[in-house]
Amino acid sequence: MLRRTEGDVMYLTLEEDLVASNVKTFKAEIHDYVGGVEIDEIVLNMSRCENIDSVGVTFVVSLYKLITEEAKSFRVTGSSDEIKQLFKLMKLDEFFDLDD
Amino acid sequence: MLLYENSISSSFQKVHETVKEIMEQLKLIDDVDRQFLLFRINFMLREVLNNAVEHGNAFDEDKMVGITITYEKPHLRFVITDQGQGIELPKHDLGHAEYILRERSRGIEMIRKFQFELQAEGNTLHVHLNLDHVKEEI
Repeated sequence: MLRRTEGDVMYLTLEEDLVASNVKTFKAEIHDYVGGVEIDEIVLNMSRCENIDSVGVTFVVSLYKLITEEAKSFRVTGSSDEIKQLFKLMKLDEFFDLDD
Repeated sequence: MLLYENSISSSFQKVHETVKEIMEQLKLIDDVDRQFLLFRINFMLREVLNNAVEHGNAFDEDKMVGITITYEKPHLRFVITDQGQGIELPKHDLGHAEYILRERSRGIEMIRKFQFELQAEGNTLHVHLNLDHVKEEI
């Protein structure tokens, strides 16, 4: 996962599919990236992510909860039409924005 | 027509590799080679296989997960067998906020929304998709 910070916004880019076999690594990276950092928003870029499973969805939900518990914002960008449809069917778009 | 038959050990990594292999086979079928359909089959396969290795076989790599895929136009059928205590499918629908943001068990519901039919018998899960009835818009 790539990390870039601009001002108060941290941009995280997934470089691989968001699936169970990768989530453990992503979780460890998030712990390192986000812990103790002064930011107002996290933007998760999924433009390089072709496939996702429910473990991956749970990772996104956990990240959303982690960020919003500290009154910070969270949004997802660059997800495919299929992943957007999945998130909408799960009603996750009620909790965070899905940008192009 | 038998499309795929295999038995895999119980790890998420093996599931990942196997799903990629299966998807390459399925892309060769004209009726299946549609982006939204491939995405849904990919999601379904990962869900049922992840469940089999985690909840069925408890990541015991000595226990195997069997996979059989057949296609008799327009019926695509998947049979997944693990060596666990039996499969119990969740019955809930998506609902209020706490439920939407729960940590687990949302995958099977999504599979149903993606128009797959599921039937559990002991430690075998049968998944059926009628390609004539599947719709891109849900």
